[in-house]
Amino acid sequence: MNTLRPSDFLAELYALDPNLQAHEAQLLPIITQLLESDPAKSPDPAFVASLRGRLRLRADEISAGSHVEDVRWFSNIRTFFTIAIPTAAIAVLIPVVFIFQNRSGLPVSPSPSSTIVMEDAGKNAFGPLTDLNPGSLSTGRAQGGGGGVIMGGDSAAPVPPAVPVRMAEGAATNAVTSEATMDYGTSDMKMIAPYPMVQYEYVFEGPITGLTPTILVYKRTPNASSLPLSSIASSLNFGTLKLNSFSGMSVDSLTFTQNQSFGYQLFVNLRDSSMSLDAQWDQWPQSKCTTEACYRSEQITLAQLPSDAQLIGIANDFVSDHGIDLSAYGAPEVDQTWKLDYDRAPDKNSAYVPEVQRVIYPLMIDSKPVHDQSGAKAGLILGVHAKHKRVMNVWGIMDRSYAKSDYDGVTDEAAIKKYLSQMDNYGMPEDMKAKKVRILLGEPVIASSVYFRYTDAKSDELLVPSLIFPVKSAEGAEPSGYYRSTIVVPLAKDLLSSPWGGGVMPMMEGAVR
Amino acid sequence: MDRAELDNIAACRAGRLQAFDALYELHVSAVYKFLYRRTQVREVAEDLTSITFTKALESIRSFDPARGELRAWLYRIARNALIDHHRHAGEHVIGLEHAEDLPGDDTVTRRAEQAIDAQKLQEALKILKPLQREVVLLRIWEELSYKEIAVVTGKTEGNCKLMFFRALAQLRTALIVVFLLLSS
Repeated sequence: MNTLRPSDFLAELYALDPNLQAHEAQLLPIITQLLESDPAKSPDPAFVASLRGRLRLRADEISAGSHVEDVRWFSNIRTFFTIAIPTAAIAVLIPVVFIFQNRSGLPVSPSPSSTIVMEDAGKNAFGPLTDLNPGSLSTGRAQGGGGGVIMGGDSAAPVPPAVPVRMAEGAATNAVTSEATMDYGTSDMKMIAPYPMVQYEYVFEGPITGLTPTILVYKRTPNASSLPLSSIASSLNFGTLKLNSFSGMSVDSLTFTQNQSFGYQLFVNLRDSSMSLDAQWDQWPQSKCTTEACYRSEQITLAQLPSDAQLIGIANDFVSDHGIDLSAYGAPEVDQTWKLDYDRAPDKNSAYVPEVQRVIYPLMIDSKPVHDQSGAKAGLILGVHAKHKRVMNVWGIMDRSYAKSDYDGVTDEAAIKKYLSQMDNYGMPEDMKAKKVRILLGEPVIASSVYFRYTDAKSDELLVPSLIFPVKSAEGAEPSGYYRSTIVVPLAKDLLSSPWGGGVMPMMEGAVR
Repeated sequence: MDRAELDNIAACRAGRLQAFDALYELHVSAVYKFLYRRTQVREVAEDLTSITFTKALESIRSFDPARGELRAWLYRIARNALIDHHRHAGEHVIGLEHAEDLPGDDTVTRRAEQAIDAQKLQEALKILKPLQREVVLLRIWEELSYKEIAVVTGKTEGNCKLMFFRALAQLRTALIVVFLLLSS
């Protein structure tokens, strides 16, 4: 429903040209008719609920660092070809049946081992590390929200390099006039009220120990496989298409669907030997809410959340029931990062409490947990639905084979502290007036963190030893203006000295298309 | 944007994408309506809404509230998705006379115009350039501010305000002509 009235639009016009008031008799019907002709319809609540579910899953997937699939993966097939629905069903079901009835002789191993297999690849075997994806670099540095940088979107998404831009403190509320206003798809630099610019100073005052001249970098080497289409094409008959007419085509992913209450959908990616499990949405209870107030009333509260021990128990039972190999992972823990927001929320009644709580089994390399770019632990992640007390999704089941290679490490403490001092400030003009925020860091630990490299539309996953600093305090920050709890500094010489050292990754307009 | 929305954006930018849920709830209806108005097909509007929010989720870490409203950013993604959709559907038929004024795809607004019942108004709308029509519809139907329309269309705020003003003035004149033609 429109909230503005014809008189509101007329007032705008008269402000520009008072002479138009003389023509109100003609203008009023135009605006009224336009308003009355509005063909808008509200979205179907079932669609809204369904999309909400898919977005939650996608959010978990992104958080787990999974690879990006085509954004149209859920595309409404009926829009294009109604025939595609039965075709797709047949295309998925028949090969699956075929595989399990005729496994011998087919080069498919859809059950990747999670046991870590190491292969020594020699020194600098993965090429220079300077070309690691800058988006993945900035992902780590920008975890602050208020951290003053622009993200490259999904850490696994190929993003073109671009000119670093200094951004303002994300959650600041008081817009002030500043010459630092950023252009946003328009040539008018003064169009949008800017936020105060913030300059972060990361400080660690103690000694940094444990630095070594040589570090071990790991590269994931999944056992890629696929199912040649030729081996099953004769079993498939779509009537309108000869499958075996496509030479060299193969099946490289499979989807299994469990059509029963609280059923799942299992996605197997044969190309990189990984699996993920999602709720089969039409088999899980969906909200029937259509209003904000209704959604609010359904939102889970802190008091309703199961304890960490209960959540871990549910995850452990699921892992045990479904035979997930945990030999590459450490003890499970419940992700508490959302509590930062919750604790800062002035009104706890409307504060966000995730319905799906994440239980993380951290990937262990050299007996230490692997971290993502934000400093959070990475590995096998189970989303436990707090209301249903069931595992809703699982991310990170994959072939954990790695090759390892020696690289030059950083031993110069001063270089690390310089890197810290420049973090998040790269590209900021020297003379820019900015609010100073001093981030005090605690004693770091050394552990691997995940980086991605994109070449020829393929991504490599590398584990690079890094210093993981806990954030102790943020002096001078807005109460909700700084969110990072850890800072990651890579210990590979190549990375620390890369042009993106402390740099940021502005969002290119094209990347949103 | 209110404080809660800013907080949720900040949380998303910090990597806590669960907070996107609240942003989705806040904007899904408006984005859907925007797309439905321009497609008139529920399934297509649903598809494009899905694409819009998935892209937004995947890029939310790069969104900076200092540069504009989240709503405008979402509309811009939606509009790009709409243009892509029309291109894929082979509906990219644009008169050369409009080329320099194109907001991206004439079809975006052409479909919307078809939804307007009033014959006279439809006729009169045809005299507007595509971008003018887009600005008028974004203002009147979507109730976007001129600042937001500027973000969506890639023009300046002042430019959009002026386009709206001129479009309405042109419509007024055109309606008189159309009325005379239809009456004759």
